Amino acid sequence: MRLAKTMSEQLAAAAAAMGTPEELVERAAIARATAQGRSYEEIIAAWAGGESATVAVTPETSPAADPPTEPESKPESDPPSEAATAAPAVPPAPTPETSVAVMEQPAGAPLLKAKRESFAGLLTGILALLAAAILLVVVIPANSQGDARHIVGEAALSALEDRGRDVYLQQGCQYCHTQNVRSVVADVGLGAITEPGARSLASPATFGFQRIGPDLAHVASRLPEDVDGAEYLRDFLIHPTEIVEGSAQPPYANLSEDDMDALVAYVLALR
Amino acid sequence: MAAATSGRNVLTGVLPASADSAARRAMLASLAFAVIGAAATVLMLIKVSVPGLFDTASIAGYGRMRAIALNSFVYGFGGLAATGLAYYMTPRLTGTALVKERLAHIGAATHTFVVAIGLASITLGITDPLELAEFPLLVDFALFVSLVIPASIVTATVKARTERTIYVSLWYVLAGVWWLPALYFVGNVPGTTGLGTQLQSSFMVGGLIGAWLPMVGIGAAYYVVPRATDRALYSRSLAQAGFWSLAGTGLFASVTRYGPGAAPDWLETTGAVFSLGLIVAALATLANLAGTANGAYKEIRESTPLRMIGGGLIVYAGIAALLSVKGFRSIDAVVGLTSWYEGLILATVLTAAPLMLIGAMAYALPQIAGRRLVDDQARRAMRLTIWGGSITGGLLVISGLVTGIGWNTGAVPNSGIEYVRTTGLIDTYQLVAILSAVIAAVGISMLALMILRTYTSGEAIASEVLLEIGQDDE
Repeated sequence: MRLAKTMSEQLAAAAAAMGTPEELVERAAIARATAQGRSYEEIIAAWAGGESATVAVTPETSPAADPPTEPESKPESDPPSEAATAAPAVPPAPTPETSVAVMEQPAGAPLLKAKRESFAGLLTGILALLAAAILLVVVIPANSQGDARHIVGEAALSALEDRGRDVYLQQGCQYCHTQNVRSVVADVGLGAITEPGARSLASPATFGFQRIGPDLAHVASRLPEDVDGAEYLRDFLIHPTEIVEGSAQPPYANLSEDDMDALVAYVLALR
Repeated sequence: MAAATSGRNVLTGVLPASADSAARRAMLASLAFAVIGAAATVLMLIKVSVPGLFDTASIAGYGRMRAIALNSFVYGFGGLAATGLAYYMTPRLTGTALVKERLAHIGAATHTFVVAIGLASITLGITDPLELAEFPLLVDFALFVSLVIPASIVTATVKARTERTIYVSLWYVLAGVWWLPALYFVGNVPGTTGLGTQLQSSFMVGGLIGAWLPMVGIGAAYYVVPRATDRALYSRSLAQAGFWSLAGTGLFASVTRYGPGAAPDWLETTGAVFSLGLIVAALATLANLAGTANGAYKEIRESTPLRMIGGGLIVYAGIAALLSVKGFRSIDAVVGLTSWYEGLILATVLTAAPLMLIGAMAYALPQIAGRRLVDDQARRAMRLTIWGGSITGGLLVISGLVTGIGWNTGAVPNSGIEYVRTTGLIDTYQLVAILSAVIAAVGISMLALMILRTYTSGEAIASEVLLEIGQDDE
């Protein structure tokens, strides 16, 4: 009991001297003792006696690195007092209780032993959750739709339409338009619900994620029958606000004739 | 630390082995991408409201601006800041010098260079079509390799630790360095088709925004707050609850990015259930750090890093709450595919992430550079960032809600020539969002400048030189 009380006092003194919480001082002392092959009691006793536990500072940046000023010289008649002399910090003389503590403890054994936490367990947990997430929300559902990898119910694109899809993606149309009809009230009237095997989900994917403009999954089927779809679409893409006042569609007057033809062909294939 | 001046080895100057040099470089490099991302965000929002602006330049298209903005923020700023902070925190938490400091330099330099190349390729139209996966394949490969380097270095350092305890912030650091390359890999693996393509994209985007960015920001918060307030962590149990909530649900909740679609019903239910974990993580973190900082009002008032991190955490909690409710079908049926999720993304990259990560840098960089933080403009910068980013994100969230309600009630059409009424409904919100994005961009730029000024001209103070216990000085 006397031993524990003495160590507790020394720990408190060390913490007070360093201005650091006791818990942190204790942990630091255990780590230091283990690394340097000293006993925990030695470390705490040294710190309680004023020995510095902090790291070194770089001479070029620290004002504290300036050499300590010499104490003011006293008149010759006065012998220098002990207090005025810079004295090196020395650990306190061991008290009888400390000596008994050393004799009672096996050499090098710290008073308190901290359990080493499992790093492997933590990393395994993190990686396992990552793998589980990939399986559960990507791999399994992607393979649960049977024929999801194949385009179902839609004709293959012609070469011109295929090129048009490339233009569509290159111009970033998928950032403003979706091709993803959902089974919700908001999507009523947009056409057939997008199935797992839809072309918009095929690579390169055009399903989009935000509707600044309307959904285009079946846009061609919504064009009026008496309208020349190609001509209308071309005019709209070049002069959108002249066709629809206030439209958020940016003009694509900079597209080459070939690219415009391909893009128009692709959009008209979206039925 | 000054660069080597001996000249005896060029490698030493370019790739110094001195402690914290890689951390410093990664942090400083990240700031450039934050400013680029912020500027691109403003241009992106302008293009929504004024689509005819710069219409002859494909580079100025909304899609390209958005890709530049988000890739710059997430991979450039977020990735490099997270790496730099991981390199700073890990040695201090483990009592061991960073393993292979030179390799860390190579990784950070490659990361910076590759992201810059990736942004340039997007500008030129050489791009892949998936969100946050726009970099071309070769760039993807190089970036993936550069993201694996920090993961391996941090892991090796933790494995070689002398410190017995694995501190809370180290859990987040470990998760962060491994999640980023994993998410990037899954989101960019080629050859997927069908529903798999949509799922890989939602996993990556939802994972990066909803789980990874919070993970690295919270880890930094757990490191800085106890130290800056000089208080022990309030509760390790609460920290465990928060960490495993985020780690155990954040990635599973990523499916809510696209909401109902061609995915099976059980996946939507999965997303809804797991997304509730995001709120648990946010609340546990807030409670724990508030408990830690309780009573340290003087430190909070005077400490720029504390104020920034606190502000970022509060904004993050709001974002987490909104992200979590999107998992519910009834909510997603209204706000899905509107600008609602976009608003949460912008609130994250314009406010929460910059405040938490640059706030942590504001604590770390003075320590390792031996310079006092030059924070004379910090309060103003913080206010601009918080208000600008939150209002931008908030307006887009509201726009999405208004649009979704309009579609569901039939008040505005979802297609056809009359669709212009849909965009007309939210014109005002979009215009004000541009203004607030400008404010946020100015704030972020000021925060970046604060760090740079600290590094180049801050008042010299005692720097913190890490000495491994028992290790000889170099």
